[in-house]
Amino acid sequence: MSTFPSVSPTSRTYVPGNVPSNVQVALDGTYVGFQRGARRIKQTLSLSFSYLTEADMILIKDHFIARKGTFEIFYLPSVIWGDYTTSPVGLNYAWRYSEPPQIQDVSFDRFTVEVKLETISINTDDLIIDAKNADSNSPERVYNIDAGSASATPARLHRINSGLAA
Amino acid sequence: MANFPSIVPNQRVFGLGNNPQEQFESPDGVGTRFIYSNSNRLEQTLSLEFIGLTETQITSITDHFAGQKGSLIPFDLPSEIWSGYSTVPVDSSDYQWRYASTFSVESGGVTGRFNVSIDLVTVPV
Repeated sequence: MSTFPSVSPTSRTYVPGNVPSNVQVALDGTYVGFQRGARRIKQTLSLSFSYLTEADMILIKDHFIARKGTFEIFYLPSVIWGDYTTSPVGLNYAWRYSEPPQIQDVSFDRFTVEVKLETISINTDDLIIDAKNADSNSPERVYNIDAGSASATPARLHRINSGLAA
Repeated sequence: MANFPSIVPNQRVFGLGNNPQEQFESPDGVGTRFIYSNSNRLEQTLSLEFIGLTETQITSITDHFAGQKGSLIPFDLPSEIWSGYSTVPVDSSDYQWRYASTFSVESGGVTGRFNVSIDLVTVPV
């Protein structure tokens, strides 16, 4: 999967999102909450890159275009989290642009870029795709989908053979 | 089609636009997205600020606005608008520009000088 350009931000604002839930409050104030999912949604990250060179600005612009705007997801490199010792968002979440970046001219050949991102929950733990030693004469791919400890033998093996396609 | 007047702006903010798409989200947060074009990006924006223009320069902009029927007819931008870029970020073979809205001409604080802010938006060619 694509990774955001390794450019260190000038400022960073992280919002940890929320568990998807629905809250009902009765007229007398009684509170009932319904959890609708296990993974947090709408974690957001606002990044500001000040006084970038044109080359660094183009890295971000081209990445946004290659991701088809806000459509496709990607990971963040560690440099984005700068002074964090551990990234607060694990690999169970990818990111996508929540809106188009804004590029402002601030000096000759210097640009300030504002980027807003939000998380997309993904299931990296559940899917193992192994094509490391694929032989072009036996192009079988093994997809091992493991539901963890759901049953005694939870792994499911899916073999996809493209029929010796070149 | 008349190009925008060749005047270097004092301030410029470029918005990258977005591919046309639709997004749906279920109650548990799982989303589905549909994209309608892999190549076209809509609503790329360019905000230009011109400070201390002469009356002749202001007139060239207002005349251009009138000639383009306001925000109706798309046009190309001259290289002066992208002054400072070594590579123009929007290819004129892919996109033209049109006025996103009308604009206000303000007094520049000195006799015969004017300030104007102009918002443009792309149109795929």
